[in-house]
Amino acid sequence: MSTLATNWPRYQLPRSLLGFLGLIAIAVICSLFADISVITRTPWHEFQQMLLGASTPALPPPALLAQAVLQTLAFAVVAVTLSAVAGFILSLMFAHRAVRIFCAVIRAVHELFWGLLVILLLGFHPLTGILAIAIPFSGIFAKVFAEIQEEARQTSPGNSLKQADSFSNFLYARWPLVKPHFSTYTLYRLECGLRSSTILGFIGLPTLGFYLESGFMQGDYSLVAGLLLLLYLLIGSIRYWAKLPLLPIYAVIASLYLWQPLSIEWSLLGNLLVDLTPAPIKQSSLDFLPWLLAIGRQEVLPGVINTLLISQIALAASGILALIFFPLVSQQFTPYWLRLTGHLLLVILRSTPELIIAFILLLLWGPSMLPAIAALAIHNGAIVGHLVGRYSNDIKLRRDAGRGFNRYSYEILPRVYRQFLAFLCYRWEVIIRESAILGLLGVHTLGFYIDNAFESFRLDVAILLIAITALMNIAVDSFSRWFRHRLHLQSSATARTPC
Amino acid sequence: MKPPTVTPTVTPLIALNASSAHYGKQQVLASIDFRLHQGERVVVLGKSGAGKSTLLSLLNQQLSENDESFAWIPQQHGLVSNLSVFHNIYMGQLDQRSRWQNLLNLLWPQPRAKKQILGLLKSLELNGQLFTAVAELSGGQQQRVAIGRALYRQSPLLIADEPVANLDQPLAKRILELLSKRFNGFVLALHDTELALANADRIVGIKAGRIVIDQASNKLTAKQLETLYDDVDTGD
Repeated sequence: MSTLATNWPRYQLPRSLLGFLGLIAIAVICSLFADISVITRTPWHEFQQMLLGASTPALPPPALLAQAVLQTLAFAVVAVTLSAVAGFILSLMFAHRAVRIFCAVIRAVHELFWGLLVILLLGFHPLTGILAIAIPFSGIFAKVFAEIQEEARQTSPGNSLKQADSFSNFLYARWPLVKPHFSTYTLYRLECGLRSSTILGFIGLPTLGFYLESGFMQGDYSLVAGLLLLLYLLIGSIRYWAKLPLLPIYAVIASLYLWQPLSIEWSLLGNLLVDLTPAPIKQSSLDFLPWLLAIGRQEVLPGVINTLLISQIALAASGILALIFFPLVSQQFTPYWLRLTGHLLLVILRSTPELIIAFILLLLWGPSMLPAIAALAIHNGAIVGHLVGRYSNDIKLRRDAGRGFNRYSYEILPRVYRQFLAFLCYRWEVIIRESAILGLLGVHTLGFYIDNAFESFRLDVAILLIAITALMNIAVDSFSRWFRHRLHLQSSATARTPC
Repeated sequence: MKPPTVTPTVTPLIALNASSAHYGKQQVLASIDFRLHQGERVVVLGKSGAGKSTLLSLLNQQLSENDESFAWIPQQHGLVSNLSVFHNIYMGQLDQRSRWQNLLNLLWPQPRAKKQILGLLKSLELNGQLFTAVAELSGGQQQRVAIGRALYRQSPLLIADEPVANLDQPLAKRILELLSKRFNGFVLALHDTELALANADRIVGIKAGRIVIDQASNKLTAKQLETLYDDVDTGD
C-alpha cells in the first residue's frame, strides 16, 4: 500500500463536466462587464399592483377579445401549416449546400424582425403576420425534418427497397418511419406559433400581444393577467383540438377568416428599394467606409457585445435553473401531488414568452440587463428542466438506491447529465435570437438598434443590423455544434430545435 | 414436497410465511416459507425463470422494512455507467456519510476513500481501473465493480442475484471465496451447482415458483440438485 501512495492514480474531471464549468466561468466573466443592477424606483409598490392584478384577472370587451383570439389562432395555424409544407419540400433538397445556407439564413432572423421587414412592404395586412412566422419556421422545419429523415436512414439502413424508384421508396420505406416524428413536431411547433403570433402584437399586429402591451403600458395588470391566463389556456388546449390531418382544414378556414384584398403599391416598393440602399451609395458620395465604420462603432459593436454578454450569462443561468427545476417534475424525486404543482410551474414559465417575462421584470427592477437575463434564464431553464425531468423518468433505479440529495447527485444527475448538456446547447442559438429581440424593450442589444433604425426610418441601417444579427446566430449555431461534437453530445432531432 | 421446518431459538432476520408474488396477473412465487438466521450462508438454485430473483426481491423488501443493514447486488448491477469505478464503489457508503462529504467525493475523490477503494480493487483483481468510467469496462469487470460496491458497504449480510454470472470459473471461485470471507451471512442466487455446494451451508431449490429443496448443503449431492433443472414438472 505504501508504494501505491506514491503514485496514486489522479482523478480527472470528465470533459463534459469541464464543458459546463467553462460555460459558467465565461458567464461569470461576462457578468463583470454587464450592466446588472436593480434600479429600484418603487419595486414593492409595482409588485403589489401586479399581485393585485393577478388576483383580479380581467379581459377586454368580448368583441375585441374574440377578434384578438381568432387573429392569434389564425396566424399561427396558417403559418405553421404553410411552413410545415415548405419545410418538408426544402428538407428533401437538404443535401444541397445552397438550400442549407438559405434555411440557416431565414431561420436566423427572428419572427419579430421578419415582421418589421414585411410591414414595410405589406403594411398591417394579415399576410404580414403569416409571413413573419412562416418564413423562419420554414427554415426550422426544413432542418428538423431533414435530421429526422437522416436519423431514420441511419437507424434502419436495410429498410430501403432496392428496386423501387425513389418516390415509391420514400412512400413505403421512409414515410412510415418518419411520419410520427413529423406529426409530433408539427403539433409542437403550433405551440411555438401561438407564442410567436401573440408576440407579433408587440409590433402592432392585432393579436393578443397588442392588448398585452397596452395592458403593461397602462399598468392595467388585471388585463395582463387575464390575457396571460387566456394564452396558457390556448396553448394547453392544443392537444385537444390539433390533429395533423385537421391542420390543413383549420388553415383553410383561418385563411378565409383573415382574407383581405391585398394591394401592393409598386411605387411604394420602388421607394422601399431606395430606402434600403445604403445612404452613401444613394447619395453617390464616396464616404462609404466612414459610414460603415460609424455604424460599426456606434451600433454594431455595442449591440453585438451586449447581445453576447446577455446570452452567455443567460445560458449558464438557464443550465443552473434547469438543474434545480427538473427534480420538481421527475418521478424519481417528487410524489405525484407535488409533481403536479411542479408541472404547473414549469408549464407557466415555459409558455410565457421571454419578452413578456422580461417586460414584467423590467417594471419591477428598472432598465438594466438583469430583466432580460432573468427572463431568458427562467424561460429556457423551465424548458430544459422539463425535458430533463421527462428523460429522468425512464431511469430504473436499484432497490437500495439512495434518497434525496444522494439520489440526485450520484444516481440521477450522472445519468441525465449528457442529455442535459445537449438540451442546453440546443438552446444556445435560441437564447441568442431572443436576447437580440429583448432590445425592443430598451436593453441595448442588437434589437434595440434595429428598432431605433426602423423608427428613425434608416432602413439601410436596419437591414444591415438584421443581417449582422443573422450572421451572429449562424456563428453561434456552428460554435455550439463544434462544442457538442467535442463533448460527444447527442440528442434526437425533435429535441434539438424547440422554440 | 414440503420443506423441512427449522425450529428457531432466536428471532430470524427474515421470516416469510406462505408468501406469494405476482408479476401482473401471473403468479411467480407461491406459498413460500423461508427463514434466514444471522450468519447463515444460503444459496438459491433453480432454472432461469423459476423465481430466484423474485425470491431475492421479497427478502430485500422484508429486510428494508425491518431496517436491517445489508448489501445488495442486483442482477442488472445497477451501476451508473458514466461515473468511474471509484464513484460506483463509493456509492456503497452514501447513506453512511454526510451529503457534503458525498458531494466533495463526487467532484474530487478524497484520499481516504481512494485508499480504501484501491485496496478493494486489488482483491477484486481490478487493478489500475480506479478512475475508469464503468461504461468502458467489460461485462465481467462491471460485475466485480457491483461486488465492490456491496463489499464497501461493510454490512454483515449480503443478498446477491447471480453475482458471478459473467466471470470465468476460476475467477468466480476466487470471488465467491472473497464474499464468504467478507460477509458473515448471505443469500446468493447462483446457477452453478458445484459452486453452490462449495460455498453454502444451506441450499434452497426453487422450481416453478415453489421451494422444493431446503437443506443443509452437506446432506445434498450434485445429483439431487440436478432434479431442479429437469424439464419434467414434479407437479404439486
